[in-house]
Amino acid sequence: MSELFEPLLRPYDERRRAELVAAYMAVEHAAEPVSEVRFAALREPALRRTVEGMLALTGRTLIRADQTRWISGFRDDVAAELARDPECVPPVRERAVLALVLIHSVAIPRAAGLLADDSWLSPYPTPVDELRRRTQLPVGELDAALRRLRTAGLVAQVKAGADDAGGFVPGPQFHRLTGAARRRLQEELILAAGPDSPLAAAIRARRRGRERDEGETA
Amino acid sequence: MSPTSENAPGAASLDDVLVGEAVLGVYRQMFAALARDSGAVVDDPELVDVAETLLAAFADAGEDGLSREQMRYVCRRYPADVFENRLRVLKGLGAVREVFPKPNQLRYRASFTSVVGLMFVRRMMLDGGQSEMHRLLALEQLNVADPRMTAEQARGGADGLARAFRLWSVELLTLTNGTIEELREQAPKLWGTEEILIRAERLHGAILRRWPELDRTCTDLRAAIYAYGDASRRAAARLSDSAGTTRNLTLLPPETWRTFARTASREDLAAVLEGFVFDAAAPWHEPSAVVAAVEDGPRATPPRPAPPRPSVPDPGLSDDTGSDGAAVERLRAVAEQTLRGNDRVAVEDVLVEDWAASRRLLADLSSAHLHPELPYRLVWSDALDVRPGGSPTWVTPGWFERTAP
Amino acid sequence: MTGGDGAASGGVDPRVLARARVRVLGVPVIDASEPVPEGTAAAGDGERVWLLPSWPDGATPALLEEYETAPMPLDRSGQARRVLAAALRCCWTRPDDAPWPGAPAAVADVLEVYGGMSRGDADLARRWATGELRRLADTGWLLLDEESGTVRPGPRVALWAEPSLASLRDLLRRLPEPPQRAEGGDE
Repeated sequence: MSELFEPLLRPYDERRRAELVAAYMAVEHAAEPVSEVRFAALREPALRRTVEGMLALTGRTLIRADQTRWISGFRDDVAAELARDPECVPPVRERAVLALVLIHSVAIPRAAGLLADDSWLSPYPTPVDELRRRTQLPVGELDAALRRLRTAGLVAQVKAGADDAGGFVPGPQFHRLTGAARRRLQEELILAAGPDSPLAAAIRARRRGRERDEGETA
Repeated sequence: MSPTSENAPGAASLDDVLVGEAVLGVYRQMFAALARDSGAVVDDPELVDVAETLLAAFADAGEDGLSREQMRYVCRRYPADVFENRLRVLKGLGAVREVFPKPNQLRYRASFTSVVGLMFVRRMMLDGGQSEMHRLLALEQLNVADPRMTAEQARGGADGLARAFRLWSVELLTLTNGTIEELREQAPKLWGTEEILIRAERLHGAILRRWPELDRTCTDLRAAIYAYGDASRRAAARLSDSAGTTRNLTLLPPETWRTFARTASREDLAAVLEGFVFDAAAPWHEPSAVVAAVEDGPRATPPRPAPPRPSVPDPGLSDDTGSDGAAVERLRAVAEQTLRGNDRVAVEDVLVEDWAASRRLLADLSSAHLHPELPYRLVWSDALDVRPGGSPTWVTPGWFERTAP
Repeated sequence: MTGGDGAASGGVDPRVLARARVRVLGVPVIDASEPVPEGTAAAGDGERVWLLPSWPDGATPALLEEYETAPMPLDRSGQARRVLAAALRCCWTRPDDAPWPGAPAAVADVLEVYGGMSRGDADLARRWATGELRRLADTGWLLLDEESGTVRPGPRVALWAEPSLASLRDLLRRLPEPPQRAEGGDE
């Protein structure tokens, strides 16, 4: 069963081996980035390299959160390759709802100066009413989409409190986007909502430039 | 605004002086609402609110104007001295005039220009002149199509626009070379959308077609438009290059985001996340967790058992782990079992079972080691022993021991 | 930034890609005649093969608990596990064998067993359990055939290590027995 990892793990004694396995399983399955204080194989750069190697075997990579916490996610090249397969991309109805949650929970609070952290997670819930009544989504598919997004950890439900109505925020899966993926998500939102803005023009220009560069090197 | 004054060259005639006075009069009225006294601009926005309240009351009052008591009444929520100050300044600058409809009856009227000025100021405060530029361009476009428009007027209009674009560019470039935070905050008020640039170019084309002799002016205008477009792009490029993965979302106003969320089709919304892949839902149910769920299930609870829980998320691990106290006690039990009454045991002696069990035990021992309340320590040596037949074949000598209480 | 490791852009190792795909799709199924990608685990029933993640040294995500680290949140995990236990009671028919592949059992029987495990409004419990069966099927813990109204163990149970099963076997023996069906229930 562990044949896959054996070449990477064989050189280590049982303590280091256990530390590597623990760190690997933790970054792959934790809800939040895990602290390197707790996992020696994340703390020591040489061991961390081996964890990175183990992750690479399944197309994953380490993602650093804050200064000392880690989680895993898909490598950018692997994600790009997977995304070509329609089976691997969430269906339209789920993506549409997820985009709305990102706009209401992250983009709008950020534009209003309410969010301090540079993160795709947010404490500002998207009210269910906003999703149900004030969008162009066909009625009747919202609940199923939200259920599936929730099961997959793409959104999380915030309970209604004393004075707020509750709703949905981006889920823990957003910890697992690489820096490049996070930047691209920001760009896609800007291109979609403000295609006429100078920022959208700058994004388009840079992408054209990159494609040209890649065309030349290919 | 539309072409108004042309400065005739040559000596100042009486007419010129009168025109100059008139222009100054317009200026004074325009900014009366912002003036603190006749010499400087206000330093408290509330002073502008007083002016606005008054002007609104004048608009409702019609041609009779307002008496002094009526003015005081509409401004009753402001202190008397603030009101007096405002009235003095507004009168001094001609925004409010005294009239005598009957002998011995003093009433006041407001000037139309002041209201327009205030509207203009409010718009400028809201979007830093974006919409003003749109208005200006639209007006000039109408003027250019007006048969009464002269070449001189067109030149004046084009020159004014070129100046505005240049000043805008300078301000943007200064910001672009400054701090990223300031740029992020100010740029959206200053930079031009593609629409503004397209409108400006269209206007430039219209002027040039009707008055080919204005080619020099038009070249100037076009250069200014390009410079502005370039400055906008540079500011945008610096921002899109800047560190951060969500900070640029602030560059579109909340209203733009809201409009998009409410009006975009399902497909347009979904396109945002095209090309992103995520992990499938893969919850793990360890056999022992299944056992625990059944044993701790609501089965045992008497007469009216808990109904299925409402659809709110479980708080993460709460179903799976006991309280912290229970966890500490478990670790203590594991540690004592491992030590079997000794103060110190060799780790290799306790790792005898299969891999998974050894790993679990190691994890527990190191948790006990790390737990501040537990008197145990895990010590490793740097040497390495080979244990040919053993389940872990490599063993680092290590001891699990009791620390002094 | 990420994604270095020497791989030239556009040249992702197809074996790596196949393993990554398993993570995106959950428990993808392939025909038994197709080769299982190297480095993935698999559970087959003769006709089809389900691809599973491969973990080092027999570790499972339960390891997170040992490190007091929260796994991805799961709504109503207790209820999900109780329904899973009820289902296994019915379709893990020979408890001395491995739970995979097990045998099909009628969903009605599973609901019956679950009803016997929980008290209160039986109809409500049944409705919740039905939703839970779907969720368990969506995540590969059960195979649900809604048309024939039957359920089987899902391929994910093949990831359970034999030594971890003792207490579960013991528990299942203690659960209410599924009703005996004259008409056979499955097929």
